[in-house]
Amino acid sequence: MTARREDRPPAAPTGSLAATTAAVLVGYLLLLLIALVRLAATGPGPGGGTPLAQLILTSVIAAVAATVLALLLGVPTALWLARTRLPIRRLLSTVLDLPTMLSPVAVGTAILLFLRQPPGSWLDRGVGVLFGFAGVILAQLTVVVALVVRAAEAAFAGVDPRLERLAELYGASHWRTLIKVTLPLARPGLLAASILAFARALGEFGATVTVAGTIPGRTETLATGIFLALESGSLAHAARLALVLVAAATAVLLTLRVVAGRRA
Amino acid sequence: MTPALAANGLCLHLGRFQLGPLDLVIGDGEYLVLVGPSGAGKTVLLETLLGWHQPDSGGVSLSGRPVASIPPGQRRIAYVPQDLGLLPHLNVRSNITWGVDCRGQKVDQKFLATLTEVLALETVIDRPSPATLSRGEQQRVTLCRALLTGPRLLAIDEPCAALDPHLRRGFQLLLRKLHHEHRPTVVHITHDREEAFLLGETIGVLLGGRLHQLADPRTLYDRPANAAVARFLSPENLWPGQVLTICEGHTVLRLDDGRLTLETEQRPPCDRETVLVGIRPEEVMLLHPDRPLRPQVQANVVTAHVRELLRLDGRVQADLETDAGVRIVTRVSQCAADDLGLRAGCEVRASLKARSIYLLPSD
Repeated sequence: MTARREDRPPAAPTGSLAATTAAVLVGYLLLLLIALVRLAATGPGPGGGTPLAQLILTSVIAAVAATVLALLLGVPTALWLARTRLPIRRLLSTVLDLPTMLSPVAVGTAILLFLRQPPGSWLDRGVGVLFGFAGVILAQLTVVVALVVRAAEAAFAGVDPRLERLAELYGASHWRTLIKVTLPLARPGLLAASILAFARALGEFGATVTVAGTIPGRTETLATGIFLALESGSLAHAARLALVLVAAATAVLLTLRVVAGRRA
Repeated sequence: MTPALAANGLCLHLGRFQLGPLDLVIGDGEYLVLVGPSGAGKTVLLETLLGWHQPDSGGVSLSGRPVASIPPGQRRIAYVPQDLGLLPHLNVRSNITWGVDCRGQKVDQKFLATLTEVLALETVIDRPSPATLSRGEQQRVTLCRALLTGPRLLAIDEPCAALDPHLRRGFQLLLRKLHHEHRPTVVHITHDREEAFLLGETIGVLLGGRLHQLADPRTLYDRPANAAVARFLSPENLWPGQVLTICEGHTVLRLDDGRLTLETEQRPPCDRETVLVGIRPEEVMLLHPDRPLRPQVQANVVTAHVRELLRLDGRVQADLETDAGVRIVTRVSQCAADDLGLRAGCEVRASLKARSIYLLPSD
């Protein structure tokens, strides 16, 4: 699809204004980053909180688990949404979008209330969700699953169903068609969906802190650790944690670029 | 013998478009071409024959069995859609073997080698992506993929439409050769009338969702079934006329807008006096002014003047008009045009062979 790259839009008449706006925005974001770096450099040594390695480990494991679960739940749902023509699809679509639109704290509160009574309380008793590591995963999963569904649905919608029918005509079973045609063709979109989900889960704060709190060594993540550090007045430590998150996010976004770029 | 493919009273609605009702029978090993303008419903008909669309009434049977009752994978139909359906994530070789892979069967390497040779794909089979192939190569890859599965029925949608004009004839001849050698049953759809006549053992004319005529090429050429078919195949030389007398073996006609009378060997198609009279431009002969008339062309000799000369590639189209205002189109070779001294405005004599004139019910 090199053609798309060559199809340059005509220069907007308000080009210079747009360029200035972009420069102001990028400048502002860079200033934020510089503020973090300066703060991190000036403060005293490690703030005495949870070791950084422990925080990173907790964050990454939780985010990976939430992403994998979101893919397991979201990808089949997206496949169904992309292929069905039932009118109920719109209603389901709206319900699926709710967690994205609500404030994460509201989502966390809803999860808390859900865990108080059956069937939620069975889950809590079984796995130990409230103020447990499972709670971190559940909170992140709830927030990112809609993201996965949306991105994966777009990826599946881009696969020509006639190719699937052609595979069927040549004798492929449903599973074979899914594995040999649908998934490979949707692969770039699905990869982008998982990276996006991972990035969002890594930075998730509101729902996580509401459901799982910030118990050092168990439920404290990079994102909630920043809050904890701020509360205890160690600003430099908070800045350092934020910079780790920035580094992680940059890595993820760069990977996304590469994956999306290969889409052609 | 049960036909390879048959449609009975097939009728299908897609939005406002109605296909059919139509009947169709294709014998084993036959090459059927469905021809019609774009929007006639050719692809819909083809995909209904494959069992991809559920007809509202009537049905399709494959070797005597209703197509809907056969699981898609067991229909042994290979379909080459107009957009080809190549898989961008697979290399060229995997694309070729994809049809067989879908079946979970092993590739017959000998057959693959034969096909790649016939289809001239040896130089491109090891390319990493089908996107690097030319359109003609992609078309041949898809055809190879289809043939490799050893189909009972090969369905091809507009295989030459996207090819450059100079490659088209080559691909048409390739299809012809493949059919002669392997005798698969073929349903081929096209909007190109010449392609239909070149390849079709049977030609179906599809207009506005209805199959107007299903016949061998010669019948279609000599005796189009109705005015719509005649207009689609050759819009020139169709005049309203009236039957004057019906004698033994021939009919005498008068064309409405003139005092021109013509004879034809065909009997009028209906009892009414008013008919549509037609002749193919290729069957109108221009007569040399100095030569005496042979007895067999004496009947329908018309004097006219040349209104306009259109120089086509290798042929010259002469638009004639008689004194009475009847317009006649004819096409002759460049040399013949020179010999006849054709110029705009000059007078010529044209012979409309009684055998080539067809009569249609007027609409």
